[in-house]
Amino acid sequence: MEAVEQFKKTLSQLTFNSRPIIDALTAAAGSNVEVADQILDAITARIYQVKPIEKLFTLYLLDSICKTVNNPYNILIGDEVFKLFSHVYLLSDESVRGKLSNLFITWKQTKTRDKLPLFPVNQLEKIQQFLDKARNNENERLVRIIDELVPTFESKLNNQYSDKLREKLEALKQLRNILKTSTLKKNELQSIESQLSTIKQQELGSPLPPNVSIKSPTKLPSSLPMAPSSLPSAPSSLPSAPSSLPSAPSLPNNPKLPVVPSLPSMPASLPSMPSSLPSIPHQSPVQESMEIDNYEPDFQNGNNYNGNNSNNGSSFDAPSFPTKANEIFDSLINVGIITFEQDFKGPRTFDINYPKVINRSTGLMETIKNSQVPRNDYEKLKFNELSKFKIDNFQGFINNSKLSIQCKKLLYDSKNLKCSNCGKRFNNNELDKKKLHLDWHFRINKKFKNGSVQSRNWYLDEDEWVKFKDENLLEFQISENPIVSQPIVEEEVPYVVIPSTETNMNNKCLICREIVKGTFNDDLGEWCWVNCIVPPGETSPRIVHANCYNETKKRHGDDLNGIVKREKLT
Amino acid sequence: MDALPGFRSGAEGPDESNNIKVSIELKEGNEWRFEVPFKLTMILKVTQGIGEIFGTELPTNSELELSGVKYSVYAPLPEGCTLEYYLKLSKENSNTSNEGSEISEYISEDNCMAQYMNLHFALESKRQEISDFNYLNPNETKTGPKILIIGGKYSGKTTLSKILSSYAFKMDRQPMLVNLNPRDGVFSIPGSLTSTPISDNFDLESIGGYGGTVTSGTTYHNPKQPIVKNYGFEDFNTNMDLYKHQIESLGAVTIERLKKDITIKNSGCIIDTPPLTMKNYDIIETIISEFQVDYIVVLGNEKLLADLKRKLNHKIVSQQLLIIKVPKSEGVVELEDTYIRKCQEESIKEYFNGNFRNPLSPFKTEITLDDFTIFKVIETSEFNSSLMFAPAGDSFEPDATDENDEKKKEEEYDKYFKKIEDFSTNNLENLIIAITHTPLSNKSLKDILNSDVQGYIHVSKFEESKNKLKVLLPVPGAFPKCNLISTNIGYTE
Repeated sequence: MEAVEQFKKTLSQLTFNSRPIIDALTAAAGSNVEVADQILDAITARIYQVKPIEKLFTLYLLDSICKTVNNPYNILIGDEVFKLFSHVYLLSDESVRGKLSNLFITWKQTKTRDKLPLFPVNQLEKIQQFLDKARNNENERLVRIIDELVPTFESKLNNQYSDKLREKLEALKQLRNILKTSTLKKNELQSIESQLSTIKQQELGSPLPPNVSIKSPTKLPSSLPMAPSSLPSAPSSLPSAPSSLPSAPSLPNNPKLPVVPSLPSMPASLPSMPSSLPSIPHQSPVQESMEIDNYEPDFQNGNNYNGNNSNNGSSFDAPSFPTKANEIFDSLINVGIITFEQDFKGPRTFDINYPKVINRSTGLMETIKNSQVPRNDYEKLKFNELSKFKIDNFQGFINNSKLSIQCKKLLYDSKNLKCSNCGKRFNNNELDKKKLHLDWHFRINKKFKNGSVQSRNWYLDEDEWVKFKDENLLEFQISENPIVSQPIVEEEVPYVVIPSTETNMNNKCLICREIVKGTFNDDLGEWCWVNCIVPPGETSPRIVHANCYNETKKRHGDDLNGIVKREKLT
Repeated sequence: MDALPGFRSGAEGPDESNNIKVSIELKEGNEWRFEVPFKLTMILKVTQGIGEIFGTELPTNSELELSGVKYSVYAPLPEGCTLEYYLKLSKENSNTSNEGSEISEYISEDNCMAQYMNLHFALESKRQEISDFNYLNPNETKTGPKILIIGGKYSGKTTLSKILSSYAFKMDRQPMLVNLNPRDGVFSIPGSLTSTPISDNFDLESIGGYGGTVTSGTTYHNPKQPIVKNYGFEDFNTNMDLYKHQIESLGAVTIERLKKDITIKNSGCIIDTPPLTMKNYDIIETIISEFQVDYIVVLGNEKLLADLKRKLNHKIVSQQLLIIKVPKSEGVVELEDTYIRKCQEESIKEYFNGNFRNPLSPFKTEITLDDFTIFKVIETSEFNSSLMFAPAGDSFEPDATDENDEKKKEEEYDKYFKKIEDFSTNNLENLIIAITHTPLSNKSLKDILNSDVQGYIHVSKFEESKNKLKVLLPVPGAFPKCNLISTNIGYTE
């Protein structure tokens, strides 16, 4: 009983995104499994009662407990996750919704220790449908933004005609049609939205001197923008985030923070905001210290999470406790208007690249078009980095350009799943692929230990080679269904019944020449060569391993006649 | 050429116990250059940080076994890289060559990796632009950058092409690596010209540092699937006509693959070459047109750069071509002929027998010469001298009949290759023979010459009395009933 009370007391302090509190509570939940139901009641009650923003943190706590402790928590709460999730989603603003979506992604991918889905599949599907619906409304919202913009363009055109402006207006109208008529993917919507915000700032705001550099010793959360995140389109609808800022004055003198962080303060009104960017620095150390200790939902409960994992799939919500200013600042980073050098040691330098993307000769239509290209998280990151380049002079770029560390990391840590066997890297959301890759290493090491004999294959001829796809060489087939895990279907183990005429139980695979021993199958009441098949065009007892057969077939078309001919020669 | 402190081995005798571990620390941007003779094997691992060999990232705490290599480990990131290595005697090669028996190694702070990486990012930026365009305009797709790397002897062309391909692969591309230097076998043996999509890491432990091709089973590293054209000599100068002809035929099939495979098309080609100079301008021109080259990277040769820019000015002005220069790395070592020869032998050996991680078993068999037609590539000098003795005037008969026409057509191919009429130990034994994809029934010289290689066999003995060849076949099974072309590449088991 006491444990529950204690838990509730600590839970009530979860008014900001605090990793230590969440960790502590998770630990408490873990050691008091016998009162799991009461703990969950406390959490659920809190989710329904508190302010929208705090709901998120409580949901994070639930996330942490379910991922870390697993059973019984994830099972007990299982049937309620949709209700909880949709409740929080409906009452939240855009930025929180983004985080919720990310949280949901981790739910889909996380497996419990027993390799089961974290939550019941039907609940996850319900959430998925719910999110899909919610996103459809996004189209409408973007159309509204365009509708706001169009009159401005028209009046500008009336005052001062320019082809460029005309072109942009046309592009906007086309985009409006696209939005009206077709369903777009989430990432496409996000990038369109960010483009629109850029245009909005450019067209409605006062002109900004290009490339103002603010030298600010701020250490911002180092999570890198993954994708242009959505700008809050209607700031008035924001939950009263600032008011819930806890007054924790004990932190500013924390010796761990040698640099007093400062953030440029910004008026909340979006359009005129950029012009006042370089103004009065705003001291916000409290917030800063909290950000360092944010809880971020990770795939396997992010025990090792640190801010340097620049592109953890779920980390594009940098300050998860936003003041408006901070949030806007973040959005600007996300759309690439403000960039910074990711240098972990020194003070950070921010640059304002006033809509560079648009100033480039490619034009607005091109930019909008580019945002239609689907990209995974890594590709987004790459796109962001590469579009910072200005390669007018190829030679000059090669000679003089100094690549930023983020840029270099595209070759390394940005794909931070590195195989310890061979050094191959995988994207953070390619856990499945990496698993297949490791399985493959394992299989091969085993095979080589057994000392199997193999030979080179012929090179393909021109026609075959031209049609060949290199995917067939790799250790994994490309499967596009990481979301809902299918229960593993027990595949039938192939076997060849040993002919009664055969006196020798030992046989060998015609491909790898490994000895295959006969085993007795109780169900069949027969002696069999397990995992073997009789290749087409052959008769028992001439057998091959099913795996050998499939691999050879995969690599070299259907022509397996080589096997037949070889025997004749030997 | 510092000897490793405390390590003296090799000629004096094996000392397996003496594997003292040496640790090397690299700061950001440093490069540790080292040479390991074939006699020794270096067991190398990264213990901390990130290190890469020519763009291929090394695994952490996992050992690599390197022998007969001239490599360098580069530390690209601020965290630097800590390496650890020890040496042991190579079992197989301990008494073969007269090479040195010590490794040489040093750390260089001054290298061109920054520029090479810039080059990669500039190209990647182009690839991104093109793949986006191709996604949005699926009916009028463009091809990613096709990069021709040119430079003098020992300028690091191959290294640069490895770096560019590795980096491109690491950014989810699948570039086509084209090797036009017949001296090196790239995913094949010397004497061949190949195009290979790079769909996985290179295998640093294999000879040449590229890796293997498809085998009958699983391999230690993912294999690659090249298309192979037979040139048959290790020096591109030996028969310039044939060389050019095979570049054309390789170019055609490569471009065809690009059309069919959008991933490769977005990624473009990286073309490695032998040391071409302005004297070989016609070859450069052939490569540019056959592979639709749009970027030429000249490695550290101002004069070549200026000459090329002048000659190709029309293409530069019309923006079809960009010529870029990058500096030549100080780390490039001059290769001794014996080393090159040894590498060639090893790569042939690897083709048939695999390497220590991936042993392969070739297959010995006999073929009767009467059953096959064998051609042989011709040295230009040999061809010219044969012309001198040819009866004059024959082919200039004005009233040539159809038969004569055909004969004339056949003679066109005389400068490339010729059917072997009288077999002898000299023109067969210990040579590598290419099996083409043209069935024996196909007598068209054009088809035979243009055919790509199905595989190589090695003639271990010519038995004159039986008119038979004892050969080493890489693939067990029936001997393909196809036309054969003998190369000029020799090899003794």
